Amino acid sequence: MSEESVIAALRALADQDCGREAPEEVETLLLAAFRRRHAGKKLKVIALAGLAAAAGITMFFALPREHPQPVVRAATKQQPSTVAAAHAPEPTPVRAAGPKRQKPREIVTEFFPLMDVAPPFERGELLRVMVPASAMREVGLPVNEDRLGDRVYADVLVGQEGLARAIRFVSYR
Amino acid sequence: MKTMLKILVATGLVSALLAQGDAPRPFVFNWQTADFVSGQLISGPPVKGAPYSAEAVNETIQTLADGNRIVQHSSAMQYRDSEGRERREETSAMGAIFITDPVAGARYTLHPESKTAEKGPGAVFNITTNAAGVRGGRSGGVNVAISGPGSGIPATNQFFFVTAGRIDTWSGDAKIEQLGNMFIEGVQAQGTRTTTTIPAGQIGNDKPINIVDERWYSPDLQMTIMTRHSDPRTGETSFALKNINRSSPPPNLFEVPADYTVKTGPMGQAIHIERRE
Repeated sequence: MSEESVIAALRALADQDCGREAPEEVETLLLAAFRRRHAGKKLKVIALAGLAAAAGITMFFALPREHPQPVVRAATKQQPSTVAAAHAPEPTPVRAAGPKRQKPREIVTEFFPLMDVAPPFERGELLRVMVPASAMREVGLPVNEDRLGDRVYADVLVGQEGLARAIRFVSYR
Repeated sequence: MKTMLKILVATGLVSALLAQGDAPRPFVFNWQTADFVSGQLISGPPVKGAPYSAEAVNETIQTLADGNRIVQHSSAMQYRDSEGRERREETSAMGAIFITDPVAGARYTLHPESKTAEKGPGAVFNITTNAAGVRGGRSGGVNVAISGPGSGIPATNQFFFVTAGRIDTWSGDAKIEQLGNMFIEGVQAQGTRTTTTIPAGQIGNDKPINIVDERWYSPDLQMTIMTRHSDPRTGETSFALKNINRSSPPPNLFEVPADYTVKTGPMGQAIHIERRE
């Protein structure tokens, strides 16, 4: 997996997402976390700028925790996927009123192959697992140092012979 | 935990592989830190009129440099009825059960411990790969397209991955042998052996490396019932269906038990980013 292909995949994801907005609950969580970390600053403007950047060039990876403490960081030019947001797969509405929200949708990266000489794939399983974010770095995706231990969703394609063929990472919007 | 053990073993073996040459980036993955969430069967269009039940047995043998061996086993029960419904029971502490029902256009993941079931769309996976694993001149590629009623995903949103760019060169050295017919567990199967050679010097190897795949396909069951994958770098992995029973399994195996709570599964409709070659 070359760096170019990873960047191309991220750009494709960004192109696809450029017209979208994060779900309201994500925004709420991100703003709350940002305010905690940057109390006393012009939080709203910065947070919105961060969200805009995130919507354009990053993926949101689910980091489910029992007590989520979401953190948002503005993406840098060279590290487009370092923004992560805690977001439960089936979030509870946080606003009683307002426009009807769409059901969160999965967004997945491309599959990153795990074998160089693989037998034909006839049948198998696609297993959804939660893994440390460090797994993303292993396939070439940038992850902030302080978030390597966070949990992210991944799908592992396993052939019927038990060989893990590929992995992809999953986010919810 | 055998489900996780299976992929732990599988991925652990390929970790060393990934660390070599221009192969995919090293993927040092600790599956012991992975938590199973859900899953689904991936197979082609439903096979009708060929019911069976069997135990799927996987074995991985890794021989270390000092001669020591690491042997891992896992197994699962598999069922298919005459309408093409499928069920797979992981015989593990995790105990996940996967059901695909192409008739109802649904798939389920059952969690017996919590008596919950996750329901997902009954997508059909059109898997394009020939016996040699060569597609479009690339070896080892897998093309999985999600299509069919209920998937809600355009057929054009499909993903295809190749195992590594270098394979293009190696695939030219692939040698395919027909092994004839053989009865396995009472079922006739046709054997094919594919030997892929990594030439000397390609990944710093002094001598050529032969990677052997042996597959036995049953025309009656329309599926492969035994495989063997041997790679000197990682070891040998085998798969076989044992105790094959050709009678139709009980219908209730393909239904969600009445006392289960059904909810929408986490592996719902996904937006696939097609790789741009």
